[in-house]
Amino acid sequence: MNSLDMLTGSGKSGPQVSISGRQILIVDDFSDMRIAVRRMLRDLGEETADMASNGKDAIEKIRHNSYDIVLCDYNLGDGKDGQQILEEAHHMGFIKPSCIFIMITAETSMHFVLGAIECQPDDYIAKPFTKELLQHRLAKAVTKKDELMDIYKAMHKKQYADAIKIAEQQLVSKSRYTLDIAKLLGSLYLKTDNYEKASDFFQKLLAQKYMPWAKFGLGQVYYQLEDYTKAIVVFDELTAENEYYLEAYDWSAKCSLAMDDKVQAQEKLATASRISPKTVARQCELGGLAKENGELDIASSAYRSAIQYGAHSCFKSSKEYLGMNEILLEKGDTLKALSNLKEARDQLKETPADLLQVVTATADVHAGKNGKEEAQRYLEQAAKIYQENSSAIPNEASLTLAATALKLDDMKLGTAIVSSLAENNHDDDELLGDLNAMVNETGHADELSEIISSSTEELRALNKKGIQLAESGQLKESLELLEKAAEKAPNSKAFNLNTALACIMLMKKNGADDQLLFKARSHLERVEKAGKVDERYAELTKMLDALKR
Amino acid sequence: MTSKPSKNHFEAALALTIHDVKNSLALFLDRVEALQARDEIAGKKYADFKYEIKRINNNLIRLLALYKVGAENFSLQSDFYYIDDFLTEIGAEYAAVLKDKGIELIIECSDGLNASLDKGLVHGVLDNALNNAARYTQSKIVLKAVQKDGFLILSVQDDGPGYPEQMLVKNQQQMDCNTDIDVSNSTTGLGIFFSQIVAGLHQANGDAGFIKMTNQGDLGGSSFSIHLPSEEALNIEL
Repeated sequence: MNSLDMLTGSGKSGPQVSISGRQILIVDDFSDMRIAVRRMLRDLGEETADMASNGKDAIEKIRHNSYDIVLCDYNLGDGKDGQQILEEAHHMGFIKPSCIFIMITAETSMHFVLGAIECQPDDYIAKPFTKELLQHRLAKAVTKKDELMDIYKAMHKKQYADAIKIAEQQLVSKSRYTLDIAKLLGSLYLKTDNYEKASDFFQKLLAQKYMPWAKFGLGQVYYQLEDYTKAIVVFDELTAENEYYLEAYDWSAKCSLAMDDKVQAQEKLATASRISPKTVARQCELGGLAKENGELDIASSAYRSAIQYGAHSCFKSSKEYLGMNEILLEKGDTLKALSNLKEARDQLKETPADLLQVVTATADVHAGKNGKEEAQRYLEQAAKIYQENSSAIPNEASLTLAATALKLDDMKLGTAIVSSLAENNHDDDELLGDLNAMVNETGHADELSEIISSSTEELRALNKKGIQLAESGQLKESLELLEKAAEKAPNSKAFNLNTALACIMLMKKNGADDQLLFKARSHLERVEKAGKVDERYAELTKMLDALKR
Repeated sequence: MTSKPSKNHFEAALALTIHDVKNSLALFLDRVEALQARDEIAGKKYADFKYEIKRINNNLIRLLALYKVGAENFSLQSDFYYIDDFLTEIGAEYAAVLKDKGIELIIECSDGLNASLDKGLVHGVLDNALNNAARYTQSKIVLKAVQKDGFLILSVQDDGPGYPEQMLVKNQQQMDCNTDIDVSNSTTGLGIFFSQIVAGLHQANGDAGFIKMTNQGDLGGSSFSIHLPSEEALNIEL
């Protein structure tokens, strides 16, 4: 039995957590509301709090301050909404694992279903609320965060096997936060492709109590096991129960796509986009599907939304502009296509990989309407971006640039890109296939096929040699060789991982060493940057962490 | 071009209006608390303001909930919750109002009791009962949860004079004859109607939820309870 005095005061079962001394950000578009919340915090013992009135301001502040607590209103008028702020800040790595993010909403039915589990707020509070309720929720969130900190930290470092181990231990020891741990554990099983365990886990839970998230997890398992019919039923039931369950629409669309029903997939994404129009990636995908389904108007309006909502967010990319470009070209409106690409170049100045694709597309459009000179000019621009940022350019963009260069008879540039792609991806058969197809299509197979195979083989041989040296105990020699190869193919996953491994092995033998630590770390970072993180990467990161201690 | 407002317009208007009124209420609450902080002696007189703000808010929530329940594609948003957390939180919401009114709120719930329910709707039901209790109690209110015979029973009890006999008789008659509660002329009726709907929507193992109103509470006054079909505690095995 606990009386209310205990709750708000110092009773044994009341929250004991003090919020004073914590860095807090309040986000609300109403200045009166911001002040009201700040007054509450003051009453609760925290004298200072930062305030932001819109998404842009909020993200800037989150970027430059390491907040302990963010209290964010969901509905911020015309700009970004609270969930977008959370997702962007998360995406950019601005939110530390210990930060408590609380979403303030007008309606309780939106709770728990707005975003992916790794981007969910720690709690929701419905307006209006009293300072007592705020205190209670903050205290609860702080305690919960502390309890689950080890899991969050491991997840943050992408050490999922560790996160699972910790979660399983905590679950067995009957923590107060069983439910939250279960939720995390389920998502971790899914993340690590542990579908058998995940299925068993979710089914056991659902046999006892109804929990939408467990059902959602089960749907994902069905999808992964390619039982799409069953999966669709699950996802559609979830959205029927709660129209805000946006992720369930996305997964339902994924199932339809897997069953080659693009019309149905488009329908699902359109519904989700109506409910929440501000998600750039979803609008882009909707645009792509609608285009394939021949619904150019829907496609163009989806891309337009993606462009509009992407413009001030970190989620803007070349995708929506290139999608729009295709639509405009298909409609035969070259002028509009060019002005769309111009806007894209202005918007994407800061991200070379995106800019490169847009500039390449511009060259293509000019080439298509017989503007050879203009096309050359943009190709040169693209080449410059490519050369200055080679390590940040995704394969897809390099491939398109090479194709455009070859089409415009710039053999020097085309050959250079083709051989670099072959070297950097000697271990990626899919890409090598695409590369060969591209040189075929552009009519340069005779000159270039040979280059592709010789570059690939050279690197493969180097890699093999490096491994052999290491195995025979010649670690230093191995490292030297691998490093040299990694310089030649800076984006190669195999070389970067093997170089890091060689550094680690050397340190295991001779003790930790700053230079080797740095080297290993930077090669791992390259893998991460190239988006090629996998189990082996995680394993090496862990080994490296162990050495540092 | 103008057209007649459609159902969609109404839905949007309802959602936006509620959002807006909630903002106003939040500000109003803030001003009242600020005034009260400056004026400790007369603190009690502000309790009525806060009580009314809470009532307006509860009414709004109920209105929205009833609208949604009546909509074609309505379905319950059940999830699994710790009931002690749920009750403590409601307690925290009412803390200020009740304290100012000199009413003690006692929460009784065993540690770790859990159940699946639509939190938003059940919260609305308990709000309704607590509002009533706050008005009629002498000095105490008990908010209590127990698990019994396959049901989770959430009750609000007070040490006031109890429900008028005539009201209990009328309720009983309506329940016996299975007729709808008369909501046309009293908000009390509306509250009971809403509670019945919410209870009935909670179904499991062939049972449906229901409400009970008696004058046989632990504290001698009225006792309102909502009974939701619910299994035993969650047990996770790996």
